[in-house]
Formats: sequence, structure tokens, C-alpha cells
Amino acid sequence: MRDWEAKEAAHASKAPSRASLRGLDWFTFFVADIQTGFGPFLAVYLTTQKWTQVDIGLVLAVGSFASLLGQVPGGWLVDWARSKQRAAALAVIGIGVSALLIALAPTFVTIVAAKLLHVGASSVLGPAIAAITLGLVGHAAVGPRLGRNARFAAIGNGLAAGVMGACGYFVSAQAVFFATAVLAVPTLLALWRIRESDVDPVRADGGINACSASQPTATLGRLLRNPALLILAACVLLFHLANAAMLPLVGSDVTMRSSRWATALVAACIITPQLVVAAISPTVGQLAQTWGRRPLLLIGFGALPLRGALLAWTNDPYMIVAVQTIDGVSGAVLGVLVPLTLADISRGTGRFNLTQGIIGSATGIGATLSTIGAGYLADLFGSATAFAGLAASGLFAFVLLLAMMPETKPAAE
Amino acid sequence: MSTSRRVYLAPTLAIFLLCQIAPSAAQLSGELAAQPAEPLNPTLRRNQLESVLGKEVRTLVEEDGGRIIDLLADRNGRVRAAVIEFGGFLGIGTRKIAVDWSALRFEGDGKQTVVIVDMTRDQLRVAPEYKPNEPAVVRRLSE
Repeated sequence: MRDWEAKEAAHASKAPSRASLRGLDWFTFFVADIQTGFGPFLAVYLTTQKWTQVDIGLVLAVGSFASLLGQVPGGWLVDWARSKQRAAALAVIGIGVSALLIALAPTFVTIVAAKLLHVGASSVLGPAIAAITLGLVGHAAVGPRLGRNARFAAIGNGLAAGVMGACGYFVSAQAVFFATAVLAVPTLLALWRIRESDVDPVRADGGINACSASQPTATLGRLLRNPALLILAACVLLFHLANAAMLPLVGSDVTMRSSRWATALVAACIITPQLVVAAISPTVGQLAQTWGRRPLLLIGFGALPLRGALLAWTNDPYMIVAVQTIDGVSGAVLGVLVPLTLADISRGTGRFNLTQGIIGSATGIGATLSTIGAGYLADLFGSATAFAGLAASGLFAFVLLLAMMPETKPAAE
Repeated sequence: MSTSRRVYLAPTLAIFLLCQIAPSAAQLSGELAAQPAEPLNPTLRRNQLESVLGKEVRTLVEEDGGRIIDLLADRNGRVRAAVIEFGGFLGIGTRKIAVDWSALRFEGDGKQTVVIVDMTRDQLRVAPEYKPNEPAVVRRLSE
């Protein structure tokens, strides 16, 4: 028996308390809420503050670039931190402060600072949630628990989109950021319900805690030589290359094609997939334990090119909303299976969160290129061609996964 | 109408064009010279001049018609069109179109000025998307 297996066995008997598990439910829910305003809505807010398009574009570009650079250090930091909750708490406070800065002082310098603060905090918060989850329940039970996380995150996303959207529409764009800052408080309260003693720092890193210097942890170089991690990263990059620009294109199409119900229909395009994720994520988490990871990953990655093809084919706004339900399938699978596969891959390395950072970078690169590429295609050839191009990238991700991705589920479970 | 338009045009030019297009500076000083020689009365400035960037636009039937996010000027520095962003939800799926400057009306409703675009929402939504690198497609109003 290897050392990490012995350590795992020693912790296996320790079941997390109900309060901690409930705390994690609410924490994932509120984290989804506080992240809503920082998306494309920031650009809307800045236009209301008389920002020019050049400045808005610059701030967004700085944010994307910082995000690409920040993911790996963010994951590394979570591995290094002994208390994952404390890292998560600092990140939530960072996001709250960032929201306040944005609401109170929309000058160029403060917005750049707020954006960088938000990017840094997010690059810690993402891995920290998964680390707390793995630290609470351990590898054997992490699949279903990630499913539950994804459900609560999706409910948070869906509700926040509705509430924040209404807030921005009926009150003011600024109010959205005040609401975000206020919501950081219940986020912290939920986090405090997760007992420090229930989160095993060794389990949370996928084996060996980087703090205990006596145990050598895997280096970034060794991780990058893991073929499963590299293939997953490539597939995730291609997935987001296909996925990121799809929703904005869909929304723009709906805005153009529907007169009276455009706003409601675009909202439906955003919220419907979240309903699907909320409905099916726990099942996905359960199935991952019995079917293994590969079949589910194939379903999730396969759904994306199908969605792209259907969007290229249809013009009807109501049909577009219906097609968006397929996005929920991809969303649920990626939300559950990607961290789960990473937990498999990083098992015994003590670098679970660093692998999340690597995948986070792949996501960022794919998403950034997606927006640029799709904008280019849509400008030159129209949105149907753009959808088809995005679908092609999604199909490539699917084929790569089918041909090369190994099953990572440990045989013993 | 043309005088009141010039009143709005002056700060607009000052904000967006002065540092970019040299002829606009000449044009601007020309316009200011037409006003009384002393500095503008501060109360007059407060009541009659207003920044247009970020201003909400209404369509003919008082529907939400989006927001002015940029202004387009010709080589003489004359503002020819406003770029309006509208639609979408939470900033996702918005569209940008360039609307002929003459299709915009500024009307006072008590305290605030309201910008009304002489188009319907249906005309707005099907207008071709504005692209910064290409010559703007400006919707002219057939009056």
C-alpha cells in the first residue's frame, strides 16, 4: 500500500457533518450569485457610466489576459493553502470589494484594479470550492457530491440571472454591483458553516498536502507529462472554443428576430440551460460512479456540436430557446465530470488544484479565441456560418475525446 | 431645431473628436465663435448642454430603444450618426447599430432630456449590425 493510500484509508472513516454539507450547498449557490454581474453585464454598466467603447474593450482585454495568467497560480495557491476555507473566504471578500469598487468609483484605474481583484479572487475561488468538496467527502464519494454542487450552482446562476437582470433593467446597472457586494455576506456565512475540522487538507489536494514538506508533491512538469490531463485540457480548450461565443451569438440572433419578447427570450436562452443542469447534475454524478467517466464525457461533448448544428439550421426564436436545453446537458457533464476526472488524474499527487488551474487556463484560452473567431466568421459570412464553425470545433473536441481520452475511474470503486 | 442641435453638438465634439481629428477642432472653435464671445453662462450650460454618451434612447412608441454608446463624425467633424446598443439580457446578445443623427430627436420632459429615435423597435432590430472597422451602415430616415 502506497503512502497516500494509507493516509486516505485513515481518513475514510471520518464522515463530514450535516452542517458542513449544507454549508457547501449554500456556498456554491451564493458563489454563483456573486459572479453573475461580472460577466458581459460589466460592459453595460460601464456604458451607463459614460465609458467609451475603447476603454471598455481595454478593461475587458486586461481582464481576460490576467485570467489566462492567473489560473495556474490560483490553483497552486489553493494546493499550498492549509485552510481551503480561508482561501475561499479571502476570495469572496475580494469579489465583494471588487463589486463595491465598481459600483462606487467607475474611473479607469479603479475599474482595472477591481477587474484584476475579481480575476485573482475567481482563480482561487473556483479550485477552492472543488478542494473543499474533495476535502469533505473524499475521492470515493466526490462524484455525487460534485453533482449536488453543480445543481446548487445552476440554481444560483439561474436565479441570479433573473434577479440581477431585472435589477439592472428596472433599478439601475449600478444596483447590480451593490447587490453583488451585499450577497458576499451570506456567501461568507454559508462558508463558515463548513467546519474546518471536516475538510481534510490532504484529501482536498488529492493526496499529499504541499505543506508537509516531508512528502514530495508532483511538480508542474510531471503533471504536464500526464497524457490524460493533456488530452482533457485539449478537449476542454476546443469545447470552449466552440461554446463561449455560442450564447452571445444566440442572444444577438434572438434580439434581431423577435420584436416584443426579445428580452424575455434572451433571458430564457440563459436560464433554460441552468434549469436542465439543476435537474440532471446529481444523476450525472451518480452515473459517473457506475458508468465511468468516459461515456458521460462523450455525451456532454457530443451535445455541443449537435447544438451548434441545430442553431445553424434554425431561425425561429422559440426553437432557439428549445435548442438551448441541450446546453444544459453539456453544462451538467462538464460541471461534474471535469473536476471529477481531475480528482482521478491528480489522485496521490497532492496537486488537484493545480490541475484545475491548468484546465482553467485551457478554458480561458478557448473562450477568448472563440469570441474573436466567431465574431470574425459572423461578420464575414453571417451567424449561421459562425454556428457551423463553432460546431466544427466542438466536433473536433468530441472526436479527440473519443479517440484518445482514457477512462480515469479507478478500477476498485 | 438646428440651433438646439448645435448646442448638443458642441460638448459632443469636445469629448470625442477634439483630440482625434484636427479639422473638428477648427470646426468646433468656429461654432463657439458664433456664440457670444465671453465664456458660456454656467446656468445656460447646465440647462441646455448635456452629455449624450450612455444616454437612453426611446423608440417612437416610447419603447426602450437602447443606449447611445458612440458617435460617428465625418471628415469635417460633423456628427453624422450615433451608435446605439440595444437588446439582449445581462449584456448578452446585444446588438449595435448606427442611426443617422437626424433620426434622433432631443425632447425635454421637465427635468431631463429624452432622446427619441424616429424608428420603431422592429426597424431597429433588423438594421444591419454596426462594425467599427467598416464604413458604418447608417439608417436614414425617409421623412
